[in-house]
Amino acid sequence: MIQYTLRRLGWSLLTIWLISIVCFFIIQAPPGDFVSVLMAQAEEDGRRLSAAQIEVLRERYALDQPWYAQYWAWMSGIITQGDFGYSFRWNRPATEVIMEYLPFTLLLAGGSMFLTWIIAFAIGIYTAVKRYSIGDYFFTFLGFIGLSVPNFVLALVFMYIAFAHFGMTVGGLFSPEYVEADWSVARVMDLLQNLAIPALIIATAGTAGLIRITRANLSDELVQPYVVAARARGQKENVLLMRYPVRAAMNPFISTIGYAIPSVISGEVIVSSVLSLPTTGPVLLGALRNQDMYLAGSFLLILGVLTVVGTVISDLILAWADPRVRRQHSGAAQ
Amino acid sequence: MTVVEERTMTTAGPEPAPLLQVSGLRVEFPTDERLVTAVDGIDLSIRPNEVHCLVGESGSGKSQTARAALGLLDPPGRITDGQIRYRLESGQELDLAQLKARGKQMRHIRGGEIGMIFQEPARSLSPMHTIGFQIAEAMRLHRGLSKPAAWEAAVEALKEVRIPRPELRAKAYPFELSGGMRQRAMIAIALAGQPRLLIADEPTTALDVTTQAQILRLLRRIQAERDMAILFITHDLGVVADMADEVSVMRRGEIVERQPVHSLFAAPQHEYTRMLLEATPKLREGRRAEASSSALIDQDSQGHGPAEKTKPLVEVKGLTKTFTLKSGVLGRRRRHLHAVDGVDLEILPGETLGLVGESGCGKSTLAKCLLRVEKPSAGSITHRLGNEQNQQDRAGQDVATAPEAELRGYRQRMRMVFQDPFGSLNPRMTVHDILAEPLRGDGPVARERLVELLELVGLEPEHLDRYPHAFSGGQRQRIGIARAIATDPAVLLADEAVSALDVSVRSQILDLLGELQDSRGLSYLFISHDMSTVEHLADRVAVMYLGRMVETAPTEALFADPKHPYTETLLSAVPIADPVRQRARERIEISGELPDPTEKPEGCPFRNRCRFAQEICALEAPELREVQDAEGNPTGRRSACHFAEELNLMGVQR
Repeated sequence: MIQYTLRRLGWSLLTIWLISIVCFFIIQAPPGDFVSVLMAQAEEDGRRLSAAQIEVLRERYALDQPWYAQYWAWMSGIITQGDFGYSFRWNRPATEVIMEYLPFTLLLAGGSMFLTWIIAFAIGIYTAVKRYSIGDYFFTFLGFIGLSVPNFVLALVFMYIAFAHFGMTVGGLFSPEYVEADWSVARVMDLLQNLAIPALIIATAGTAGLIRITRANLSDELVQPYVVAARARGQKENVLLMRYPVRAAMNPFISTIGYAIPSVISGEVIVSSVLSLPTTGPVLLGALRNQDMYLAGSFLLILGVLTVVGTVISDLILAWADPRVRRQHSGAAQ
Repeated sequence: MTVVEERTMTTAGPEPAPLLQVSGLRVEFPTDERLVTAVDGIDLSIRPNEVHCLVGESGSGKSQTARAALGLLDPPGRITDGQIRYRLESGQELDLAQLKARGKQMRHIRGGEIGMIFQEPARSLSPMHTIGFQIAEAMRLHRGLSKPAAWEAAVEALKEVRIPRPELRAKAYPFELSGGMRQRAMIAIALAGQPRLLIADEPTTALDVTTQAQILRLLRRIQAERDMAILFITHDLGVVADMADEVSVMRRGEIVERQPVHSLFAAPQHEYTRMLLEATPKLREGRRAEASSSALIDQDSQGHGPAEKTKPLVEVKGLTKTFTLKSGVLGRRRRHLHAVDGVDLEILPGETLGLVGESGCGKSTLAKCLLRVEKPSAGSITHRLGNEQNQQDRAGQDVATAPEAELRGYRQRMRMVFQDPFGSLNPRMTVHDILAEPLRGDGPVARERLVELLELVGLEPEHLDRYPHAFSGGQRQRIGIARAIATDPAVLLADEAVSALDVSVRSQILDLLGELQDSRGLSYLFISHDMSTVEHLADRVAVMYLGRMVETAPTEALFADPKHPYTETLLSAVPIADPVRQRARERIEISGELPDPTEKPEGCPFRNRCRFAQEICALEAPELREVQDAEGNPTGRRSACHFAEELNLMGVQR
């Protein structure tokens, strides 16, 4: 297990390093270095950057040196000071911009993943055990609606229902009265309340897919001889269901950790726009459109790292949960 | 050293009340198209302490009968008629057919009164839990033990089913154990609730013959110790002859005959039973007489045969195939697995060479090397298979090292018949396409030629446009054979080609192989773990153990008078389909299991399971060498044992 963990970590570090190089070249892709862009911007505004300012910036990002030195300057800035570079669009350090949006995004991602799990777990097991029953068809129908309706439509519908019938404002992080308020228990409750609906909307699509996967997997496991064998030794039906086939069908759940994070951060642009949520998706999109390369590259780097981290986490949980993964990693693949 | 098996005979006296009495049982599976009646009104009664064998081919309903008794029918199966009366220790009778499948009473019956073991121990144990956990679960359910006490009991149970180092094994996952150990663990689970009836559903079918012998012996011992009845479901009449007190023969959902074992074999009443008995290849019968007169096979070395020694079609020398297993950080620790380790082999024109050994001994790897599906690590394969059309294939070329492009002609003359008739035919291709595929390289294929092929293997021309799923297992195997002979080969490799088939179908396929051999002069390399089929078919037999050839000899000589202790072990493990002979046999204790091939013992690979092992066996690996008779003359047989001449080993006597 230790060996397996070390090997996984080693490979992920290598992957992250490769990702950072790709991101660096994306940053470098537009013609001209970023100081010249900055100077052009300043001139448009009728200002001039002082020679000293320019010199400091060139020095900081090693712009007069070859590409590997520039790469090193960028990377060491990130690693030692958490300095991701400078955003022209926002006229602020990229780190500040990222830190403004990332925590909430992670909270939303975690929340929607949690919801996805709970719903998919319960319904997946139900539909697999009661295959071809009315309940199965009902949830299958519901699931396909969830799969096929675009999320932003769902978001609009939710907004309408919440506003028209419950008088709630959906959108944004906080209800109007709490936007400027100090942190308090009430404000946190309000935040969670406002989070619930976006999380639910984002969860629906993932849930539908996961329900189908769970149903298919569990259906395969339910007819396995070891289930019959457990029954034949006199175990109760509900105990043996959770203990044997459900346990074996859990693997796709664990695997979702790996890809849930990046999809929420990059993929929910439209939902976030509709609900005017301050997530990283719209910011990343804006950065790409405006050639705000340090910000875009930094986002891509963070996304890549989070994906790798998510994958490693799910691999390790998988190894912890499934002895076949844990014990056979070094075994004979014949 | 040898043990004569003692069997407890049921003492004569008043007939005891049956433990399980099935009457008029009917099991149906309603499907969309039609109603399938799996069990069609059968009567069956099992007395206390008896071993009752239920015999039949696949689909005869024997497993469904057992499952119905425990309420374990797969949906949509259900009992539509009849009773299954089970007699509790108190004398009270319960109709199991009336119990709720998920009710408390049925749960007590399962495991508490009736234990069950299954065909595939690998899949009948949860891969996510240790075997100790699964045994302890049964202990908690039926003995009301606490968790720690149940674990103790589980370790004790593992000891009782003769698993070495039970404390350690209890913590192992099923995939870390051998097939035999898994089945022992299953038996431990089934016995946890001290049942009075054990249902064993083909418990040894997936196991090697040596492991089968060990498991059967274990079951017999436990049955005697515990005064337990066994309902033993099998298709193998050899196992029946070994185990049964009473036998019921089942066909298409009906029991056609029921008799005590001795009278069943001596005087079968029903024609189906007679057919089964005839179709079962018995040791020491068959085509031997005609084959050995053909003068092709014996005297493969020295010249007291015909003046001109027959030249082998294929000659294998020192063939080795090594796999490298990586482990450790970044795969730095490597272990080498010599799947085939310096094997010499000859295939003569027109002969059938049987290749036997336990699974994992390298039989299939050897076959793959012969076809160059795997590239040998060392050694040579020379052949004289070249035919008129393939002049570019120089006879005598070394196939082991030849470039891929030059193998086409060789591969047309050396063809393979596979084990699994379902997996080896592409379900998306018609029979026409399947048969035409190997011929495509030589231009368009005439339909007449394919029809001719089909007729050769006993199929009809109209079958040509159907897909494989329209055929039964036996028919598919015929298609596989037709595909193999399409290129007019000289040698067919048959890797367990009949193992997946029912007895009656198997004998038809074996007959077909025999006919093709006679009409086309084919040579066969017949790979099988089934000794009695090999005995039936082969002219010569080669025995492999852990990648090495340990003995080669003409079939008759090998079976009557083995010259290697491993051959003796294999022979003694094969149950003979005749209760009188089977029970009169002297038994050789079969010790241990096939070791991990990466940890092959120094010296003789068989020494740690050999009952004759001496000091020299650990020091020196014996070469495969010519065995001499008492006067020091060569016998034309080879053995890789230091003591081949001195040992007096047990064969199979008539």
